[in-house]
Amino acid sequence: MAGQDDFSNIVVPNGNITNGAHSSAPASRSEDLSSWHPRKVTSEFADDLDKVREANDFTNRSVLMLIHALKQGEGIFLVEERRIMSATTI
Amino acid sequence: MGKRTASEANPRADQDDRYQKRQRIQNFQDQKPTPPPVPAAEEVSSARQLQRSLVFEQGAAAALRSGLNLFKKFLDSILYSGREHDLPRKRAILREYLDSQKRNGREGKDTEFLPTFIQAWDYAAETNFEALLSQVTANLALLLKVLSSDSQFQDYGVLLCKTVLQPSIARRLNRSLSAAPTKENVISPVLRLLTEIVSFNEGAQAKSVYARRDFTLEPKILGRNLGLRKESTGDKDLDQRKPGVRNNAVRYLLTHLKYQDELVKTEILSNWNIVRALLDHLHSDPPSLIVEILDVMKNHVFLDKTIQRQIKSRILTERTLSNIAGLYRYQVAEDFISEGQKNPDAAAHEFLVLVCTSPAFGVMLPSNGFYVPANEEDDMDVIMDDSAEFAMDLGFGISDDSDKKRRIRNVILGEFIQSLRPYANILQQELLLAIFQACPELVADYFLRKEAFHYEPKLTSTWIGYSSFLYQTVELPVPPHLGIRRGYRGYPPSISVVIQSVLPQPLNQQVLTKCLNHSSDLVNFFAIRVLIVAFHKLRAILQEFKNAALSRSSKSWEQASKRLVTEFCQRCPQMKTVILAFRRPSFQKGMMREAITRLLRLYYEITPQVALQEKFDVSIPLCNALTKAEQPADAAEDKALRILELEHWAQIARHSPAMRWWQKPKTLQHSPFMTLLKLVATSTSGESYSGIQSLIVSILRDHDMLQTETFPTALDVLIASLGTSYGSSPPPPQVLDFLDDCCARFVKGPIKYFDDLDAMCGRLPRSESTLGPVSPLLMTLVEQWPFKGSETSKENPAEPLAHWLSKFLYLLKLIGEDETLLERVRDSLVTSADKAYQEVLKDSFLWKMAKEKAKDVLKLATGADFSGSERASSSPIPEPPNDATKDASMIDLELPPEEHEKHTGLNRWRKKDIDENIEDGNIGELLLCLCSKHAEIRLQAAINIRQLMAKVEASKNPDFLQLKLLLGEALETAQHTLDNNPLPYVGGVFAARAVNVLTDPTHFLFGKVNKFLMKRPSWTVENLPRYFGRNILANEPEEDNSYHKEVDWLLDYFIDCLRTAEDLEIFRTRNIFERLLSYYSSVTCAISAKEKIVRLLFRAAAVGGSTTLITRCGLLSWIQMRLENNDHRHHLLRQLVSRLYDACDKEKVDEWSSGKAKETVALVEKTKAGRF
Repeated sequence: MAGQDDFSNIVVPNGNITNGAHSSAPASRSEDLSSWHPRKVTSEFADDLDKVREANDFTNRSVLMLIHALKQGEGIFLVEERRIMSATTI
Repeated sequence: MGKRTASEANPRADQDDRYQKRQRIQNFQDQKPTPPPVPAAEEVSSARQLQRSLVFEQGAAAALRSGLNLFKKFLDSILYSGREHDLPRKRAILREYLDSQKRNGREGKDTEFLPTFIQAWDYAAETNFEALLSQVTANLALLLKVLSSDSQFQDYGVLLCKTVLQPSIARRLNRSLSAAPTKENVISPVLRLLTEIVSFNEGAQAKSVYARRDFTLEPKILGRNLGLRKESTGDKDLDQRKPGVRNNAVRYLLTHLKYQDELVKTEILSNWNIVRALLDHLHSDPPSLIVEILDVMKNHVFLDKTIQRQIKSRILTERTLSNIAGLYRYQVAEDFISEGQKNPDAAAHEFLVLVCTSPAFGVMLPSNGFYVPANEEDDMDVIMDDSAEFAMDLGFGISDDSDKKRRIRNVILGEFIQSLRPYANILQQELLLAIFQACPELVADYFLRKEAFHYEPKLTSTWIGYSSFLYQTVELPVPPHLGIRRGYRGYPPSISVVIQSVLPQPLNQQVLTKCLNHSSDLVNFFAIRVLIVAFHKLRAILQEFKNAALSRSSKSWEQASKRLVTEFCQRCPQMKTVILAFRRPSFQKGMMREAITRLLRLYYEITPQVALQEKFDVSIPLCNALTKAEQPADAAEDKALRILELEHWAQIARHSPAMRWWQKPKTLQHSPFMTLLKLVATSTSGESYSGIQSLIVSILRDHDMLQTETFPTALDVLIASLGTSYGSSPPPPQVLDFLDDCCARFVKGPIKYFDDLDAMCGRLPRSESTLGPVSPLLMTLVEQWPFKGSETSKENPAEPLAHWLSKFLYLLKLIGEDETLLERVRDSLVTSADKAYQEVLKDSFLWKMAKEKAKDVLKLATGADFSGSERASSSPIPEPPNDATKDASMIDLELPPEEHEKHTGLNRWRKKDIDENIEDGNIGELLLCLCSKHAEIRLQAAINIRQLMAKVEASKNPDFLQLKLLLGEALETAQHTLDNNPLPYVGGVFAARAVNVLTDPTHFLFGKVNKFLMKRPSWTVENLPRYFGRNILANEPEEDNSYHKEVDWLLDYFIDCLRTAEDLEIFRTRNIFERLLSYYSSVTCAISAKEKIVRLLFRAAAVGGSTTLITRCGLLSWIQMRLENNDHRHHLLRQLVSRLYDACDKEKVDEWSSGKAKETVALVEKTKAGRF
């Protein structure tokens, strides 16, 4: 699954759900939304994501759904805004 | 009487069967301990050896069985051995052997083949020697497989197939196939043999096999065999080596489906028990078989266009779909899947997505998007349109069927999707969304029936799954034409259906408010996101409604838009909740901040009526955002998010009427306008602030400060003159302060500067008409410059300012502003300047290095080409895109609405409650019947209004007191003249519009209208426009900030009521036009009001008012004056001139103006042509 790489830090078994997210370095090159959006979301909601992992209904399959749900927000950004963002994150 | 002995009952059986049965056991047992004559390990080295081993003699079955074993190993070694070099030899041996097994029959034909096998088969069948029977069959199947693998053996293969399919032998196959279910060893080899025959040489023999279908493909037997499942041993290799009867039967059936033509396939698939048996047990099949079944069904059945849709439809029942969907839960151990092989759930998903989303595959039916099917045969849109019109005429609009039983066309899919779990499984979510997209009618049906769908916020993976599903659902695109193939219908779809696609049932105000107030950031964030997409969806649908209203002019679209927005506002959280959330600490940075600001912006953009009710001061967050945007950020993405946030605030500010653009708040160095300008001018990546730039354009549009006729515009020049690219220093603070001050002064009293400009123009020798464009702000600069750069002011060295002015003038000349005027401006600046600056200013139009840089900035920003000329290229001036789209939709002749011939308004109110009637505008419709040209209708209307009053009174609802008063007064006003003359629309439309005001105590005109009604029991209709004109335009609004809303209401009323010559006469005698024209020119007049006034003038022309407007109101001269003042509605005004002149009494007008009017029109039209 494509998104798995982006969220690899949250699927590490028995590891901290967002190990890698905190240490992510600021973007140093031109990045598009799909590369930094997931990273930003995971780092901003790290605590809550840990809580979800502790919920009773959390299974291995839930990981995929969680990644899927977090990735979705990209659709909100309009084309024009994406352009602005990639121009800014150079 | 004693029982008969067995021998008495069946003496033959006693002798043969029992003996044989024992024999078989003996044989079977014999075989194991006795070593076969030919050792198993022995390799076949010659055809002769095979001949020797494969000899059948009765009583020596064991020898034959050993021979068969040897033969099997030999065939296996051809098929599976890796030793390539041995193959030609082995094939030669086999060929020699097979040649020796041909017996010439009668007339020289090769009718007998492999007699040993056939004899052994006969014997085994007759003696029920099952072990031998299955061994022979298995050997033949294997042999045929070998023969298939090499084209040189093709003839032998054909011969073998023919031999097996001889009726005498084929009959035996049937017997084996129908053996007891436990006899897997008998059934399976036959299925394998038949499979090989069907697939031999690409299905060359398939037809022959089907021709003997009584023996080879008996539906009942096949159905039974398909159901003979074998429990998995858990060992993948063993399961693959020894597949059960079902596996073999499935492969046999699939081979038929692969190689038969459409007629045969149709016949086979028409057997329900076969299809059912095939698909019912899918969940317990091994992964490879599942994938194969779905692959064959897809490619050879569903994608086969020659098979009728009806057949496919019969296969895809709800049960079938559920069986296949059951595979989503298929758990598969990793070692059961070979590399590169699909997982059963993925295969099932692919299959279901295919068949459920296209009408070609039998289960999905084409539906009408958001429209409820009217009847079974509703493909004919035209018929639908008529029936809808009819329905609306009768008063039960199709759009209003919220309590009607929900009808859908895709019943099977509707049932099926209820069983999916879109919140727990991504593939199921994808499937459901694909179905929703293909059949938008199912969205509403799904959510309205899914009662157990609760969205109560809870930080669990199920809730997140739900959120994800709801988000995706709302994000689905709006079907083109709302789901109708050939274009819009004449009426909108039901709002109760549409709203489910925007904010589905689980997303209601209560739950969403809870989500926003929840302690978890993630829950807040997900709720905001879903609300954002909901707003996007609402906007898209409203746009569709708008497009529909343009192509199918009907009032119902407008009403539907209003109802949809109302419904939406009732379901989404109140803006207050969002504002409270926005102030919480967790929303102060990053994604959360950006998201909630975006949401607030959407409230302002899409539901301004809700947003503007909240007293929310935009200037503080805007200023904060402006300050933050200028600060360095830790990470690039934070910077990007801040830019977006600023964009959102800027857009909110644009919609907020109370925004003070020109005043400097304490927290900022400059006014918000100047800060925006500075941000755009100094941004290193200018593209980032394109939204801000368009905001600046729109702020300026109201003020005529900078001309927009040239390309690039004066604003582009201003930005370029302040620019800092190529490493030059940022604009000096003196320049920004000065400019900020000048803008503020200009906005406060623009008239003074326009007068200054006129005076300057007046001093020129040439006539005005030859002057080019010029920016009036220059006059403020001229006026204020002496305070900064004159000899007397020494405090603040004005050198940077002088340089900037020089650069600004240079660029303005470059883009084509009037040279003479610019020179005058320069001269004035020079005259009032200190000596130190005079030189700089004198050289304004001379090339300088700094100016060259600014010119490059301008070129880069606008793409203008200045090469070869000191001026901007004379290429056509592109109009600002906003204006163009606005004008395109506005150029409308504003013809008055025609009186409805059926007068449905008379009785429609009877069918509904008073509340509903108010909401649907039925009471207004009834009141308008008083204005009918037919006396009879007017009389009926009067009677009906009395009845309605009685109904209102009977309801005893105090809320309707004012409504009753209004009805009474309207009647009182109209009834004296009713017999002879209609009530003017000026009165009728007022009454109709007042209904909505009176029933909503929060309406911004509630007080004013009530006050009017309390004055006296009947109205002087002629005075209505003047009364309200004075009360609204010249008086304070009832509520803060509602002035412009009141003006808009008034102008809408004017446009709507001006329908006949009588109405025009009222407008004329009460000088309404004159008042509006002077209001238009005043500073208080908003853009929307200006546009409405122009529309009103068009309407007046449409009802025969052209001559009056030209001769009595001097409209032509007024328009000319507006055009000279660079009015932004110049397109419309020019159109209006043509329209007025076309529609007027030319003779009278020419006489009145001594031919001057004609010249004016020609001049305006000529300039128009010149501009385009």
